[in-house]
Amino acid sequence: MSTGTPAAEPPPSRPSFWTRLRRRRGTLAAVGLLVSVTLLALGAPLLPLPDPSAMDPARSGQPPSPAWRLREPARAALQAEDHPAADAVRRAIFGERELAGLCGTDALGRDVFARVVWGARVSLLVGLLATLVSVLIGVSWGLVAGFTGGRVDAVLMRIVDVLYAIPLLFLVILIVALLREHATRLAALGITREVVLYAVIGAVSWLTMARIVRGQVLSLRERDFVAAARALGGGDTHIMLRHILPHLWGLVCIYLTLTVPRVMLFEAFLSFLGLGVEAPGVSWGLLASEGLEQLTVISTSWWLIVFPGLALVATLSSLNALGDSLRDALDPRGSRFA
Amino acid sequence: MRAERARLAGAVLLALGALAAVAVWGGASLRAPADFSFCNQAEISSLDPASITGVPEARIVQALFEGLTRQDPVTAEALPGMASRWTVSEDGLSVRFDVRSDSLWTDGTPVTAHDVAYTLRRVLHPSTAAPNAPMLWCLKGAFAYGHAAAPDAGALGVEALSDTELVLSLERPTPALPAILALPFACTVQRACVERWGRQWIAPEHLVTNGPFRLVERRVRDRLRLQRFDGYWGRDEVALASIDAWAADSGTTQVNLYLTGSADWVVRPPSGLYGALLGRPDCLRGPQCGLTFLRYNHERSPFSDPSVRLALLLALDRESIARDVVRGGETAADTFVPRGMSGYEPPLWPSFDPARARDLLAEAGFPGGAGFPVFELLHPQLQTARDLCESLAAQWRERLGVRCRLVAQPWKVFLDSQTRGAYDVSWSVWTADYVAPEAFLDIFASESGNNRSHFADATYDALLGLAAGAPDPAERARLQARAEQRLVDACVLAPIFQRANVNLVAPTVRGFHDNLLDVHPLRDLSVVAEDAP
Amino acid sequence: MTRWLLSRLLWAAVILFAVVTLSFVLVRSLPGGPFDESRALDPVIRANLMAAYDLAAPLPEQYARYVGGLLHGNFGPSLRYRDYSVGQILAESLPISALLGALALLIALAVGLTAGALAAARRGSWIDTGVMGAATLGIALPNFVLAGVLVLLFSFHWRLFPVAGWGSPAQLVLPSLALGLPFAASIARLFRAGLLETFGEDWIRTARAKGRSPSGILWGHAARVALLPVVSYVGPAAAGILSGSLVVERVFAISGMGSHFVDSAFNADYNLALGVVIVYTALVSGFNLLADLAYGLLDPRIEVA
Repeated sequence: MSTGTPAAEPPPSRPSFWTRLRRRRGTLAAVGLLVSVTLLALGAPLLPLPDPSAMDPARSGQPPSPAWRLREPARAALQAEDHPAADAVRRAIFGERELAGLCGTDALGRDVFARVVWGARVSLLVGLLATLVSVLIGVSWGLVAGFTGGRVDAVLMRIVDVLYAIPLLFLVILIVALLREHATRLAALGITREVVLYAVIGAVSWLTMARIVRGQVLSLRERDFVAAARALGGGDTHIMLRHILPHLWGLVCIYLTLTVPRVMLFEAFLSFLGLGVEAPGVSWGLLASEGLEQLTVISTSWWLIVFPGLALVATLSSLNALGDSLRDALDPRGSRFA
Repeated sequence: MRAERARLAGAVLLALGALAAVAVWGGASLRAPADFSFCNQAEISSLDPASITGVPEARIVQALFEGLTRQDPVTAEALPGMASRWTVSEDGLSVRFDVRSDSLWTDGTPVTAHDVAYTLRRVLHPSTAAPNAPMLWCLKGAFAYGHAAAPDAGALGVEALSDTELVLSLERPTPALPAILALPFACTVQRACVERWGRQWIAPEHLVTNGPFRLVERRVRDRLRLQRFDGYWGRDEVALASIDAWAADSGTTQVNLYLTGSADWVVRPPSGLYGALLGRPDCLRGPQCGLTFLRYNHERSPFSDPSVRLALLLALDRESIARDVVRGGETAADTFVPRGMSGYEPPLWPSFDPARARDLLAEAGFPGGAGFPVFELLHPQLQTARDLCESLAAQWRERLGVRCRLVAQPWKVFLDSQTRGAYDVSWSVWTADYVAPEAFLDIFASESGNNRSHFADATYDALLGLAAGAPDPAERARLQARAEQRLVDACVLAPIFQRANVNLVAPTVRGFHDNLLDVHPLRDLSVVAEDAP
Repeated sequence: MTRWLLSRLLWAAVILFAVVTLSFVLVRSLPGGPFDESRALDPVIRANLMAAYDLAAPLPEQYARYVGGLLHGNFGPSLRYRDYSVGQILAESLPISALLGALALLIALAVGLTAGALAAARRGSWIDTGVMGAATLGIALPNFVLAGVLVLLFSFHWRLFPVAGWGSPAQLVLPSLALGLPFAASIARLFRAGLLETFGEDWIRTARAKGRSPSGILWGHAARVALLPVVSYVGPAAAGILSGSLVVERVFAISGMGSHFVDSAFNADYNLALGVVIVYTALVSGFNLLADLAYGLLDPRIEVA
């Protein structure tokens, strides 16, 4: 150290991104949980589970009591008809047995665990698609507005203002109800009601992202390093992507972890209103709102709210935890306040 | 730096001041609890008897106003109200009512036959646009009166002979007239009040009523406070001194209010709690004069084919649906006009028969469901309708191999789709206002706005017409049964289950009787002390 | 400054007009009318009703009349609550929502900022873990479940507060908690992240080098910059909170304005739907203005343009 000049000093070595990501407690658990939920969702037709919408009066309202039982031939035939390829694989691995009653059954005798697993498909898809749409629009909008400034900023942010000024819930309800009316025509175009739902949720959730990013860019662009980059002849696009965007990652990650839950909760809220996925489809939000009536003192079927609620909370918490870890790992300065 | 800090402090103070102002602004009054509180489901749409159609509205309006007759708390049949008695002429075309002279309006003036006559004319007048006016088209000249540009009251069969005598002339004999007049839309309103205040007459500060209770306070979507009215003729029969009617949308919240003693009566608790509630002694259940059924769109193929309609009906195990899916004490429907109407024996609909259903479907050209189009089963956004339709779809798929897609719509949109015929098969429900077969049979008349399924049968219409004009009750019932048989023969609809009443009533409440119309006049309820036997 | 304020107010009026027009078109294109009930109306009676509520004329004419009425402060009659005008309904329900929302906002800010600052100052400690864990849970729980759990715990298990209703201070507690806690969770996360971000910056390091105490740095310098994302978030969220929450109003049977956003659309109560949208738009514009002002106050590096 004593031999070199400060300018020639090598930068202090920083642990790699992955090392830093792993360093945080709980990150691995969160990732593990998210991966397994995703796998369960993707592989739902392969799993030895009862049909999520099959009603069985003989087994209605049963508390959790797992049983590795033979499936009824009639039901098996229907499952095979719905997912021929997947059911063949399932048959090869698990034979004619199914895991029933792991999380109990609802009042109509439908298997709660199967419903939670199949509900994961809808809930995760809503979260991912809608968030992707919202982050894509929101970050670019806020970045351009904040960095360019002047008239462009004014116009872009005024548009955000107008959209902000409409109650989004009201807008979504009207759009969803309107599109329901034309559902038959849309279905002919290959657009199912679920897809419409995701797109509408995503398209109305980017406004806050845009505002937050713009706020941050406004303060970032006054920084010395931006002036330095400009002095070195960097163009606007170059500075935005190379110098400003990296500083936004932390914020975007935080916001991302706020948006995925928000979007999934919004879907739950629409289900609460009866505007969510249509029967016989299920989502976690729908299951939770169905189980909501169990949140009374006289209720006897706690499993109807506990398991969908747990699935929702565990997944969203893991997403948040992962977001926090990402934030720490991505932080360009590795700052620590002690 | 200091100036900035001052600005910041100023902003914070401003915000806190605004909050405090809001807190004062939003403060609300407190009141002692009423003798009896109940959850009146949704907020009522109006207090004006002429403009209401719903059940929550009926409960309040019948407590505030009274018509010529009122509903019996035990049987829901007509009892003397503002009229102490009535006599029907030999030919059944004229009814004479004796209006009480001992009952007052809340402004202290007596109720007269002229007020009653004014009320009936008002209901029928086109500018009132009362939704239930057609129920009084049995009155002479009423239809013309309601459709005229300049209605002439002279040609209307409503005449007040004196302050205590009223004569109604009829187009045809109408045995149900006293029951119709007991309905909320026919409740008496005060001419002076309505004419003085115009549309504002229902404002709490203007309102004049003649019923067992008077309005004390009204907060929109929160509650109504009613107080016993001493000028009412039957004052001594009214036990409750004060009543609170809560508006609470959520069934779970209603049950919570009940469980903590804040409400004494909850109508139809949520089905998710049936497991915990149905066995309780305070959960009262009984049959209702209402039917949940499926409408087929007779204009759309393949539902224009009677054997397809019948096949879909026969494939449904209605016993199991009523017992395992609906679960509130409803019974599988084997009739269209619900059972329990005295003097009427409805024809039976065929019962569950999957083998015959498959045969019929094959005969119709869809053996094993092959080639049957994926159709749409329309239902409103209600949890119960969703569950029911899901089970119907599963049964059809399992037993017939036909598939349907469930389409959920908000209530008003659903009704609009049904009315326009924009559906293949639709969840439907019908409940009667008064207990009579025609309250059900009329909805499938060709010209009825309630038909909604494009069913049209001249013989059916003719039989209903004959029945309406038949003076002899037995003959009338026979003709009505023949008409219903036409519905059975063509399997015009698919009855699923006869509805049931489910009421959660505190053990301290007396005078609460289950009946076919689920009608429980507040004037006849009372509350005893907790420890009374 | 005055010119800036004036132009913003003018702009708010333009937004209001745009929103009213858009909402009018959307609401009217929804199938199903206000007079559709399970029992069909006689066609003549329906026509009379439509005429009585001025729904029979061509749409542009109705729109012109509606906007004309608005200019005179007349929101029209409600089509669902027929004894009331929309103005009366708003006057009854907005104060309720505003009071509830203000309390919830106070809770959200107090709990959120304190928790966020604690977590940031003791980063990595059990406090941090606990706060962030609670915040995560607060974000992950659907608010209808949270409201249900609160009722179960505080009304049935401990019997501290009434299950529902409006009128007494005790009845305010659970709904304002149910409404405020999820926002507190978001605020705590944003504030903590913002603080940690600013702690790393040069001018904070300078302040530390000058020997300022950590808490002095936290509240004097870092907090003000770290509040920026929080302000961005709370500004618009405040309008949402103050105009009411459907879930909280439904669970606690409160007659606030939040339910109208959904119910008026479902009930085809056109006038009420437009009325609540107008109130909401005005609230949002107001809070955006406040947020922009706060930005200027908090960050000396930003000029209010």
